[in-house]
Amino acid sequence: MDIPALDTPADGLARLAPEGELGIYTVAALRETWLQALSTHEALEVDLGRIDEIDTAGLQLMLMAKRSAGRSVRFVNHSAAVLRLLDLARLGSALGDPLLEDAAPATQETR
Amino acid sequence: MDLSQALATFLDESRELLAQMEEILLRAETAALPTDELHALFRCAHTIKGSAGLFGLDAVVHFTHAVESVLDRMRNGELELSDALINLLLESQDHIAGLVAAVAAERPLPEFEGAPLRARLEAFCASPATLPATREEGAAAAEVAAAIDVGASVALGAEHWHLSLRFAPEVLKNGMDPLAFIHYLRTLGDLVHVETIADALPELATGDPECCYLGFEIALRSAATRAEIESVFEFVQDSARIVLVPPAARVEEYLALIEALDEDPRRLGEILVACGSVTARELEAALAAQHAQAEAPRVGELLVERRIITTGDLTRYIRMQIEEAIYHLGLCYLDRNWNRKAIECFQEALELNPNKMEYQQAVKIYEGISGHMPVEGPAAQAMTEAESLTSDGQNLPPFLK
Repeated sequence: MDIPALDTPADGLARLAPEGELGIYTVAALRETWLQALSTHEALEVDLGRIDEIDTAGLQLMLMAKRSAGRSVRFVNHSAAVLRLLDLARLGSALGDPLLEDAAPATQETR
Repeated sequence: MDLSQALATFLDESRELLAQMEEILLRAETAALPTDELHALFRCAHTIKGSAGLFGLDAVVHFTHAVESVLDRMRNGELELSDALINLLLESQDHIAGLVAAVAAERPLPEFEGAPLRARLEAFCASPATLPATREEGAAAAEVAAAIDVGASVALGAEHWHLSLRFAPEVLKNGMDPLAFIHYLRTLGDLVHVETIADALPELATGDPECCYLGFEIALRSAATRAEIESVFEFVQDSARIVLVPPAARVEEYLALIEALDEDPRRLGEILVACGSVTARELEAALAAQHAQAEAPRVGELLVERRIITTGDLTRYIRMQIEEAIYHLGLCYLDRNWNRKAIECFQEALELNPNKMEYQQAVKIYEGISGHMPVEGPAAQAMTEAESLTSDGQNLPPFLK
């Protein structure tokens, strides 16, 4: 899977925007890409807007990244598929990104 | 007492109290609330809950209890009144008003509509601070411990199934998706709470992302049978550790669950409380009971042996512990809205010690909840005496004074 860094400005922030599946078939490759980005940049921003499929493995990878790298990993622009799974696992706030905190209660209302 | 008139009084009173709550909350949006207003807020919710209980309006009692718990933490300074919390409380006040309106219109109460709100309220009470080691709670725990010692059972668990799921590491590689199973549980009922357990999660650099490190603790409100729930996990049950605790299970079953799991017992306790599967008080009491059961007889005997106390003292002390334990057990039942059980405990405690004001009041206040069960024996006599002694009736709802 080819996942290009969209932008690597001088502030040391790597931006990635994986497409398609964030799941058991892609987590190994994604992990390598994220680790590499973190080794060459101070921080990593992952745009999840083009993720249309996510499973337990994908969610787990997000948690692993967040736990290991803390604030230097940021997930943004979560797609509907991602938000649905975060809502199911009640993990909106655990991943600690502002968008998630805003989004989680709103999606919870509809259950 | 004319019941319909009493109900009308309750409705009027509730509307007044709700208006008062709203007024205070709106004031809180612009300036910090003084302590007496925080207490006033709590009293509003407390009175509505108490009065609703007298009419068996369980949906109102249940929901208002969640509000009351948050307000209790606020007035004790354990919880700050943030903007988010003000909004949540305003929404909650609105919801109670809706419930009261439904009562007035004799419509069925929309019990489950409040569930998302309730979950959010409970989240404010589900921080580690809900397992406090304050002296008061500690004392209550010790007393319930004594109750266990005489064979009484500690309060019982929630009205939902509790599912504890730990999957084999290779489950993902085998093409199974644990969260898909959890999603599927929705076809059996209502996912009241899901707690993702990520304690075993490795570092991004060293872990195998295709291995499953996550576990789940789930509260599922469902009329399904054990077999039906188990069948959801049919394809993984050989390799997974799946524990189902049925509704209304004894708190001991949860203690067994905690012991069987790898995570830190204290953290698991908090998770079970967050799931609403046990209350903090039940859990604390049961844990203390476990401890006390091992320690208490030995300590008592030691004290007698060293002639610090006599056997008579010990017996009296144990007796006192038992009666207080039964009283606190009653409070645990009240938390669960198991009102008939609660009143039985209060009556029992009163029978053991007819002079204790706390028991007299509890019986007096809560006997209405359980459908006006008559008080008999020495308790009834003590009540009559108590009535003549205490006529202030401070804790009674206005229409019963």
